[in-house]
Amino acid sequence: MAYRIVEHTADIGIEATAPDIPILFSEAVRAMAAVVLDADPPEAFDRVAVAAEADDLGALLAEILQEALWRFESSGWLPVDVELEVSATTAAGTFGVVKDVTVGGPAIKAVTYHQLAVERTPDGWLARVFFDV
Amino acid sequence: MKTRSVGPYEWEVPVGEVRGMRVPGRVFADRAGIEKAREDRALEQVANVATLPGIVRASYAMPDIHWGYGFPVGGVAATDADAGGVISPGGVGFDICCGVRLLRSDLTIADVEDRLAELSVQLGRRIPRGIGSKGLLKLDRSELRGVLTEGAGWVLSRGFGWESDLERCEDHGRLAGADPDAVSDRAYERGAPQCGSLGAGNHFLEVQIVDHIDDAGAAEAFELAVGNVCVMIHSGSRGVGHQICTDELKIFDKLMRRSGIEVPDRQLACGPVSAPEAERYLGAMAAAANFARANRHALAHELRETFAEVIGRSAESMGLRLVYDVAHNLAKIERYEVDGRERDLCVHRKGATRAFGPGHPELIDRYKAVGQPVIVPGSMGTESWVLVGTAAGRDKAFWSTCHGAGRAMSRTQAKKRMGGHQVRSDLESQGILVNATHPGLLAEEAPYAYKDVTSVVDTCEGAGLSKKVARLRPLAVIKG
Repeated sequence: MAYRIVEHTADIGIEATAPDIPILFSEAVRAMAAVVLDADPPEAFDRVAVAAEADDLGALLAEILQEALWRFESSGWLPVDVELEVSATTAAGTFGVVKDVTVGGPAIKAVTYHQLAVERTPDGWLARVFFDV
Repeated sequence: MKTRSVGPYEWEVPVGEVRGMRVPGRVFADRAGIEKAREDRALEQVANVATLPGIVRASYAMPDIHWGYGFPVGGVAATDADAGGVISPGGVGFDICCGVRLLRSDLTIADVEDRLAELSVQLGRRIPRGIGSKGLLKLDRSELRGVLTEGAGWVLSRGFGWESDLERCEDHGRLAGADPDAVSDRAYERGAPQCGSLGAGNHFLEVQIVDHIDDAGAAEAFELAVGNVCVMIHSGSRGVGHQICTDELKIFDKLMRRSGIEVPDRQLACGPVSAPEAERYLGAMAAAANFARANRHALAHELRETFAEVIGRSAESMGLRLVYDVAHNLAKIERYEVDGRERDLCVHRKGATRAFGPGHPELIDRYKAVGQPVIVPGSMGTESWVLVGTAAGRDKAFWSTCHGAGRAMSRTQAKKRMGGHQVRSDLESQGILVNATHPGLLAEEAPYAYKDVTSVVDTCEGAGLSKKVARLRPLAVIKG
């Protein structure tokens, strides 16, 4: 499992890889936190509930990331991982969150569907998401 | 991606470059600009937009084109609303009605130079900015409903700003057709604390001085003369717009599949303008547009108060009047003749500015003879421009022109080249005061991360999209 930041002229993207979908989604949340912090995220301090539904895995991941952004904007708690039970169209579980972080990266306005992907690879799964910043 | 030159500063992307293109792409750029657009995948996005159902004439791109999400930034697409044409929330973007407001004054450099540092500090203190900042207006749900419906006029009715401001705003500060019931609870929750805040990223407030006039007639109509101190605000609809686009993208993603529409990028999710979902989106989008106009109106009020406090005179006595307030992320229903027939078109401008030419019936008397003012911010520390729409602009690209310099370098690349502290010291060595919430932002927004704005506006003029009126040099930059 791993993540990397993907270059974009105006915005910013992430790619995550993992052996299964729950870990993939968690890596994607971790990658988004890395964009916000402009640094590797710390370990979670607390856990809060999250649930989402969508028509497919790509939209489901976008939904989870949007919930993470909203959690940060509305409460100041930044999700740095997620533990989920995932079906094809629903996900439920908990975000691992941290507070009092120093925001070093660009402000993420939203999660886009541009080149949105959750797809199988020979080694497991890959996710790609671009953010509007 | 193949292109062929079809005129001075005009390039065509032929039908067929991407499967499903219904019209060609048409990019306004110089040779360097077209090559840059090819490198960063923006040309592919021009071709992708050309697949939208009902698109007419061409998928256009302005000279500040760069890679966006779905649409390229600088993209313009008009669809025939009565012939199956679609609307795409991604073609407006998340920052609905992001735009620019320019105020001019009778002040000269002699009036402000001794107080510029104090002005920069006080503007930084009084203008809410940065991630998580709270706005000047604290609105309850019913008040926010008023803002979403009435736009800048609602803020005026609460005693902020001047009556004369409204006529110098696109749509008089209020886009008709807003439907506050089409706005989600979360958008209300995000917007309630944010009206009258700059935001972060590339949003800014800048004190500037007019240092060159290209078109004396238009400059006179816009009340701009060499030596005038001006203030430019770049901001948008904050969390309201971001949430509305997020909500609508999901709805249109489903609608598109139900309608059997296929597009090359999911961010281009769209549906027929005639669909109930589209009517609802247009109502929500107009509500966000009104929030953006109210936001910039409230910010302008605060900057007038700050100038009055620091300079020691009333804003009225300084002539701190609006030149114009105009959006560069919006879709509007506009009427054009296409193939010999008058049609209602849904014109998407994503990182492009409406630019009505002389005589357009929607212009106020003061601007009717010369055309609509277009405000083009440069990158941080470089010049900005005031342009004016041209008569040729209607047929060129549905009365559209550029919206800024356009990014040329990713944020990571920009940060690698120079740190924020160095960027600040470079700008200060040029006599430009910089007030930013954190140095990392300065590195991301450094001037070299953007194209040369003067080259962009020259290309717009060469292509006939707009004409240069006045150049503005920065004195102090307040960043989000």
